[in-house]
Amino acid sequence: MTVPEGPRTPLPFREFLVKVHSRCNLACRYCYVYESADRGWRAQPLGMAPETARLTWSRIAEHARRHGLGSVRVILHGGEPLLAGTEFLARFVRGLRAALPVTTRAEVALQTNGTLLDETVLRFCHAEGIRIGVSLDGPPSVHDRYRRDPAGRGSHARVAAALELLARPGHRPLWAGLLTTVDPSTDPLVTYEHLVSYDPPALTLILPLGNWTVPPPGRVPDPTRTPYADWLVPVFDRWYGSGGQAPRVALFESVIDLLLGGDSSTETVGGAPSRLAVIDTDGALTLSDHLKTTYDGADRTGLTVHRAPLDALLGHPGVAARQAGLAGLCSSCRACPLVAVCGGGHYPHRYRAGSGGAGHDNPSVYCPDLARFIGHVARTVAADLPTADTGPASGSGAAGRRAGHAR
Amino acid sequence: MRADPWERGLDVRPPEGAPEATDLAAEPGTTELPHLLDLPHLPDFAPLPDLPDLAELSLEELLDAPHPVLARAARRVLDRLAADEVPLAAYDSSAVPTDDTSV
Repeated sequence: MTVPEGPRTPLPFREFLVKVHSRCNLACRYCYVYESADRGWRAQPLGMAPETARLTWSRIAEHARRHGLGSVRVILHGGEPLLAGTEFLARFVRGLRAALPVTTRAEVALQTNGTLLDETVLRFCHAEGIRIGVSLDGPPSVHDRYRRDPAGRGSHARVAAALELLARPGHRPLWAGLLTTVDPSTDPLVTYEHLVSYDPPALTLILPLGNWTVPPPGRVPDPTRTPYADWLVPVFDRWYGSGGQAPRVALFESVIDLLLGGDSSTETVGGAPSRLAVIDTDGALTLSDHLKTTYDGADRTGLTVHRAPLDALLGHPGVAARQAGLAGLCSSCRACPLVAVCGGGHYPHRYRAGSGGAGHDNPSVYCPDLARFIGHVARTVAADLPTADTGPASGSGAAGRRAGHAR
Repeated sequence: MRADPWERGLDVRPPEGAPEATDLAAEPGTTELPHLLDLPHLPDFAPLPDLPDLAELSLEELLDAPHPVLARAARRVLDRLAADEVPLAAYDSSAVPTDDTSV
C-alpha cells in the first residue's frame, strides 16, 4: 500500500476558509487561534471590511472560472463567524453565489461555537442555504472545562439550547454536525454518548493541535503509551457496533475507506493533497490556520486578495508541501507499511522546532496512537470478513485502486 | 503569547440565564494530564501492528457485506473513485462531511 505521489503542477483550491470575524465571544483555553505561538490575530481587524469581502468572493469566483471547478466549498469561520452579523454574512454569500460561474456549485457552511445560534440566525441560514457545524466537546464537565466565556463561565448550557433548536425537524437539514476535540483524560463512552444524545448527522472528532515541540496533552515520549488511541478505540467499537445507526464519523469512515484502498475525506489521515486556501479577515491569503500552533507567522504568505489572485498562493512552498503526497513525508514514514492509511498524519502534528527538527519532516506526534488505532480498525473490519483472504499487507492494493484516480 | 480572555472578547456579554462561573477543575473526571513543554529528542516510533491487507478485497462483493458499516464503506469508496471531481480531504476544524449531497 502507498500514498499517491504528489501532482507535478499544483492542484487548484476547492475549499476556502473565510475568516469573516477575527475575534470570539468565548475564551476557550485550548484555542489554536488565540492560545498558540502565533500572534497574528492581534493585528487583524475585528470584522471583514466590505471591500475585502467583495475581493474575497471575486477571487474565489476567478479561481473557479480559471480552473473550471465544478464545485467549491466555502466555510465561514473565525473567531466566531456569527459575530460578523447576519447582514454581513448574507451580503457575502449572495455576492459569492452571484460571482461564481453558473457551472460551479457552491457549498457554504459556517462553523460556530453555538452560543449565538437562535431562531433568527437559523431562519437566515435557511434563506441563504448555509449549513451549520457546531463545536461541542461533551457533557458540561468536559465541555466547560475549556470552552468558557471571558468571565470564566462555561458555555455548555447555551450550546445545548442551540442544539435543541437545530435538531427540530424544520431546522435539522441545516445541521452538518458536531465538532469535538478529543480529551484523553475524559471517559470516552460518556463523552460519545452525550454527543450522540443530540442526534447529530455527523461527528468530527479532532485530535488537539500539538506537535513534537509543544506536544498535545498526555502525549508523552513513551511510544508504548497511546492515550488518544485508548480514547478512540472504545468509541470506534461503540460506533461500529451500532450497526450503521450512529452518526457519521469522518475519522472512522476514512480509516476504513483507506484500508479498503479508497480515499480519505479528512486531511488528518491518508495524505491526500490539501485543496484548502484560507482568507484572513484583512484579506490575507494564508496557509492553514492550524499552522498557528507551530510558530508565530507560520501561516502567513505575504499575499492578499487586494493584490493577488489565488493562483499566486498556489505557487507558495507551503501549499506545495501539502500537495506533495508520499514525497512530502519523512523517510521513516515513507518506509512504513501504515503510510497508505495514516498518510503521515495531520501536517501540523509533524512539526518540530529547531535545526535538528527539520520542520515538518517528521512523523506525526500522534504516530503511536495512529498505529494502534489503525491496527484496531483493520482487525475489527477483517473479523467481519470471514471469507476474505486478508493476509498481511502486500503493498499494492491501495495504490492499484487509486491509480485511475489521480485527477 | 496567551491572550487575555477579555482582549478578544469585545463587548459581547453572555445572555441572561447563562450558568454562573464554577470551579470545574474540581469536578470528578477532569484531572489534568501533564503537558510536556518539550521533548529532548524524537522518540522511537510506534510498534507496528500486523495489518491485514483489506485493499485487495473486491469492493463490489463488499457491497453485500452483512455489516452495514462495511457495505456503506464499499459504496462510498466506489462512488468516490468514480466521482467527476477528486473528493476533498477536508479541513479538519469544520463539522461538514465533504460528500454530503444534501446541500
